[in-house]
Amino acid sequence: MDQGYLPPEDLMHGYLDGVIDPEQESALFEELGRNPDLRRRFNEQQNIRSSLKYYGGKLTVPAAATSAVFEKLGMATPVASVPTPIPPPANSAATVADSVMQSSLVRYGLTAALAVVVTLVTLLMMDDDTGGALTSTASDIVSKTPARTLDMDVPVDGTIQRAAGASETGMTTAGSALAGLHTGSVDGAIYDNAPTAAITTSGEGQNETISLQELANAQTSFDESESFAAESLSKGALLAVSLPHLGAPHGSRAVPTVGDFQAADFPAVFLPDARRFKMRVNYIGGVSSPDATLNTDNAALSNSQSSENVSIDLMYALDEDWSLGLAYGHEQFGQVFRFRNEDNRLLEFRQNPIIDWVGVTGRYRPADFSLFDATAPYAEVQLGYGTTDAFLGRISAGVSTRLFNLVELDAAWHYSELMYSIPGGRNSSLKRGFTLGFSYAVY
Amino acid sequence: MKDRLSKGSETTTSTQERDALSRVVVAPDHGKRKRMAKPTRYGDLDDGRLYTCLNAGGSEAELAFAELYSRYSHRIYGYCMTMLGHAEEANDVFQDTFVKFYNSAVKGQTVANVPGYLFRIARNLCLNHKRDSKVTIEFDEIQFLSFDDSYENKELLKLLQTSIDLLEDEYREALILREIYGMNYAEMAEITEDSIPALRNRVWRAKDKLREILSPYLSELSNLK
Repeated sequence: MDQGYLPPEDLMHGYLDGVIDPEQESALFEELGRNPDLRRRFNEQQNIRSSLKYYGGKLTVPAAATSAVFEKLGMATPVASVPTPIPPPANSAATVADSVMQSSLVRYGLTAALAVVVTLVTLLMMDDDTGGALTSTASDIVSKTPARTLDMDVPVDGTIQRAAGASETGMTTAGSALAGLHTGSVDGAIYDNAPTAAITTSGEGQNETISLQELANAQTSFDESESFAAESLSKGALLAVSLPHLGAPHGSRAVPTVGDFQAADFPAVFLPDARRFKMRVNYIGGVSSPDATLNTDNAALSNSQSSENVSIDLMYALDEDWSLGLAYGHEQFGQVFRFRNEDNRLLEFRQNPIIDWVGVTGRYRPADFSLFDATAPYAEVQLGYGTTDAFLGRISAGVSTRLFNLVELDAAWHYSELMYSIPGGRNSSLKRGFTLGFSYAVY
Repeated sequence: MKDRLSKGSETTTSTQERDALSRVVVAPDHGKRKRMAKPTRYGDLDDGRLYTCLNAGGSEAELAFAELYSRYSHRIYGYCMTMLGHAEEANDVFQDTFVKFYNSAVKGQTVANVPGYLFRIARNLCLNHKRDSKVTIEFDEIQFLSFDDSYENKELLKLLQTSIDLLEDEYREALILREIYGMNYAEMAEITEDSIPALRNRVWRAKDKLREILSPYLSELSNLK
């Protein structure tokens, strides 16, 4: 740098450029000390410099341009050639995946299509001829007795009541493994929840005898202390469809994540903002092990259960870490209880409780804590109350990570319990399991 | 300038260099020479060697090109986008830059400074493009980039983009090379064929102009992080 005279403004630029000598630097600091206007401009220039750096980091090559270059040269586009933004900004997330998801129409169309599917499934379920909140018919009672057919005349009501009496003994079935993954835009999950489906008796007294005389003269005896662990390997599939970012402006980058809000998208202040809202629609279906069998001295019981669940959450980000939501859920069970009476008659009783519940969901995902760049743990609690005096409690804890801004992976452990009344007692559906889900990110 | 970019002795594809290179990308395995087709190996090579590989053709050239593309495409794209202010045109020029760069290498063009050479190609193509197209772009024709950022930041980035577009070409170019891509003035002089003092003056004046344009928003820009 020339040693000639430089006006303070140029000294400032020279200093920021790193091209002035120590003598000029001293002169600059001296001037800064007595010239507030220069100090202000100095700060502004530093601000502009950092802004330009940030801007440069956001100028990323579209994937289509990369593909076009390699195509023109007759080469396959290698993944390794995806350029890295320079300099990498702190929360830079632009990747080659951007262009893949560039068409908002396609993205929202896909999401909407999936939502329609879910809605149809829901409607089909609601259209079930059982119709009511809790249904059971006499025709459901069938005999599978190999030796004798069940020959009885059972009043429907009485049948229901008595059969439900079996539930009164407190069957608690674990292992249906319908863990709820309601995160992300479209989630798929596999679960393989196993063992320990525990059927416990918790009757009202030792050796209580529940008379099922009205039901095929069966007599079943349970011992309160008896507990059975039955192998119940449940396998199933899960589909959770979310409609994220309700109200997000069309064409803008909405908030991608697996069931979460991107912290950087929200200011620390509490302000109503459409981008804070996110709607999730989830469908979860599964079938538990068909037979978890309990044998007693004079009776046998087996139980199988299927469950379908559709729930809708409207989540709102309170701040960078916390979000709160309202939820509506619709659950339908297909329950089959089988009893073998002392005459070796096998009695089968089916009921299909339908439960609608509303609840609140709280979610915590610390914005400042990340395991890696885009990986963070989260915890979620959901409480609900619904028809047939149902109570729902669900806790989830997991880790979600973002890959290429396109796919989110979510691994979580879920534990939920839905307690509901049925004629004659309360039943409990305990669902727990590990889920591995994925979702696409919406931009 | 061309002389500086064409110091052939540094990257001429000689037999000795090929052999030396083959020792990097080819490793012996139980007496047999087995190709290690791992792009990560190319990441260890300097620009000159990678450029030499382009002349070799085949998969070697492809891997070398992919590596060079990975290193410099971001800057070249940013340069084209900022200079042209129009996404489609920038895309075209950007693609042409790399195609021309590759073809030059295949033809045996020798290059001492690969990024400088790439910038020169991009620069010439940008200038040609601007010369051939209309001089002014209406504001509503500006194609804002699709920034991947929060809503607030997006607005600020668009503001910044517009402000940069308002600068004269030579100021804008100097600003990009110096402040966005952190080049030193000697590197800039090599690309633009201008003197260092002239470039320095442009950068400083560009920043002054930018400050004037952005003055109402400077406090908000400080949130751009």
